[in-house]
Amino acid sequence: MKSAFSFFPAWPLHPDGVFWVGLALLAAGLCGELCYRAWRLPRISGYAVIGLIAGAAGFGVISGDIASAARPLLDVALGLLLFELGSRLDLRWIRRNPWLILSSLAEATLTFVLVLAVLLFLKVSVMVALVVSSIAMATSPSMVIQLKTELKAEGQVTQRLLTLTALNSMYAVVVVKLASSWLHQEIYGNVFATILQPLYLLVGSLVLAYALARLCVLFYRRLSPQDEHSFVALFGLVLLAIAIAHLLRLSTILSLLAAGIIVKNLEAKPQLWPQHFGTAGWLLTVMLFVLTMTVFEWRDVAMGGVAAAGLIVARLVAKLVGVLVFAKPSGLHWKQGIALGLALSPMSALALLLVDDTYDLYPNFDPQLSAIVMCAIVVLQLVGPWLVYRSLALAGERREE
Amino acid sequence: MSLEQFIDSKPFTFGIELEMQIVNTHDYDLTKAASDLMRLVKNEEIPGNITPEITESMIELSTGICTTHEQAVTDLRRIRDTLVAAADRLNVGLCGGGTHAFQQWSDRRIMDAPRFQYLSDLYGYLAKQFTVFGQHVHIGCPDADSALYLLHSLSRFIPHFIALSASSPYVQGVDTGFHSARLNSVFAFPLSGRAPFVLTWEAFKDYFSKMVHTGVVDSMKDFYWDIRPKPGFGTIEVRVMDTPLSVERAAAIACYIQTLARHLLLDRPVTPLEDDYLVYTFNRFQACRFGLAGTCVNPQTNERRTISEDILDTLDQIAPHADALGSAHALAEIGTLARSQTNDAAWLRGVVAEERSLHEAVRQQCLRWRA
Repeated sequence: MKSAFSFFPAWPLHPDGVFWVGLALLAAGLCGELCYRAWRLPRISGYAVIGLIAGAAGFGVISGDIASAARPLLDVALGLLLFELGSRLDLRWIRRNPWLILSSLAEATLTFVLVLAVLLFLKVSVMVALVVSSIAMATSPSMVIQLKTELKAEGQVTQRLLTLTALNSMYAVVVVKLASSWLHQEIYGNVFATILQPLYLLVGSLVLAYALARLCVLFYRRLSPQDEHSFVALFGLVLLAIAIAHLLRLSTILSLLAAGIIVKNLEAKPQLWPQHFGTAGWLLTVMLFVLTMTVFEWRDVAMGGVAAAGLIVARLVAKLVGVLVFAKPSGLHWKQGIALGLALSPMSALALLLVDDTYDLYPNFDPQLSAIVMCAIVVLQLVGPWLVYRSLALAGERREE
Repeated sequence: MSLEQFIDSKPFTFGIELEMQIVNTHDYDLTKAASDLMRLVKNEEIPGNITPEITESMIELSTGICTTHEQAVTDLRRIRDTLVAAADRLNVGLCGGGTHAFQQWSDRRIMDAPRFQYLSDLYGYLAKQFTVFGQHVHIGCPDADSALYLLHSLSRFIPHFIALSASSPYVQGVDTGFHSARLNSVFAFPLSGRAPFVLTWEAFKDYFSKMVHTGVVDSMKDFYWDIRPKPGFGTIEVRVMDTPLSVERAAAIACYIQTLARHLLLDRPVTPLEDDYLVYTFNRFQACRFGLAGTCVNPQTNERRTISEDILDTLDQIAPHADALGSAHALAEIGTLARSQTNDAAWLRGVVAEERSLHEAVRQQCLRWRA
């Protein structure tokens, strides 16, 4: 209805998405600082709390619609972090110290087996249990990178935390994809498609990763991305790769992580870009932590609470034991081994995206999967950072005052 | 606390200490891994010692008592290989160089040991800025008076040692223009510089007890002199060198000092005078700033020439002693270095000019150290 006074806003006011995102960031920023300054708690936990309050479990101002509209944003944020994490995985180190790969395999395998056993014991269906225990192998790359930067952590535990996280994220993606190919068989019953599906996904993602890595290396040789201006182009390159992964329905997670690893190991010269991809990357990371939590709903607790509790305990024990077994031969003090085992506990956006991917391919998949993983994420995104803080303090690797 | 007794040692034996940088292999900034390295090497059999230092980013290696150049090279290589193997397990890099090219001193952490915490409290930011890496060479002396004679007659050659070893052109990401910027950090300490001009051990003991009486010092460790006596070892310790980028260079410089010491103590070519020190700080500055191309003034003749000319001339004079000590190879290496005037600082500047990255320069330092 047009009138002479329609330059006034119509009542009631309808704030748009920018308003809510702005409000969420404002609240998250303040809550994070409050946590950190008043109680020395990790800022990330503060962001998570705001995510909970704003999301479906709280006031619901960030509804499922906004969350799914924001999915590309999550992909980009996590993709950038995975690329950064991958570029810190030094395969030369693993060659020189093979105990590392053993401890990585031990902690991941043990996590898979133990979580699977506990879930089956708790009467979770085999298919759900398989997917959940594959996801449980992965430590949250976003939290690990974020906490390393926030604490300016430096040392053996930090280095190995990054290495083991990159590796177990990789395992998790691959195993989830393989597990879901079994699902493919159950649902579609086409053997050819069943074999081709994970093959297409894994090989395709790796090819994309290699292409991205090659371009990055070439780019790095020509320009110096440490200066903020030429860095813009590199940022664009990474975004394009994420978009291509979407277009071809490949795994962004695998592509970006592998690309980072290839970049690091293709070239011995240090190739550095601003940490966190600068301020833009940093903002995306905060959104990632907030948005991850908005998906949680209270009915998830009823459906998956018990299983999630079992998962959390089994996962903690498995990671701790797995790391401790090879701590000494790999060159760690047992105290550092404990710190590393505990620091591997965070679980966050990567798990959420893997769940999402599964529902994307199989929309009718048992909703219990999402319920269990969401409950675990809520607990581990709130408590995980604190565990990492304590562990790095125990190992004497926190540098910030 | 009184001065330790001077324990006479076998003349012209020597020992080398090298302070090493520990860096990460991501961006090649200093990292903290000294305690981890110490834990990994503690059961290794090595011909010398590995000890922690004031920060977690530094580790010191030292040879036992050496008599020949060959022995020094072999021992240093073995200790280096042990350390490099441990560093490989931890994914950290080790390298020489008097300073780290781009580390921020505010980021450094002081080791959690009482003496280091005490130094940190006393010197404040100087203690952190003191994250510099030097080579120390001990020369065995037959008795205490000879030690003091050697100390003062060797002072005139300090610019040689600085220019030959210089490997610290960069500090906190900036080209300082110096060949050895490390020594600028050392000079900030109140008790740095030259030892007092006394030529008998009795007089030195007097000086020391007066200093203790003032309450300024507690032990010989509190003096940061360029050359200082180490009575417990029966040596004098030359401390002006930057840690070179390779163990071979370190051994060659040590043997140059050893051969020079034999020449000075046996031939007694000069009588040390207080006035020798008139040109001391000028010469030392020239060496730090301009390296082998710097000017030095001969304190006895007031003649001026470049440090590299002075080194080549000295090499001729001490050549006969090289045969007696088996240090001919080392001196040949020093001669080549003096003629080409490309010390490690010049090499580093070349790498940075080529690669335009200090991070990459540190990586190449690590490669040179392990090669």
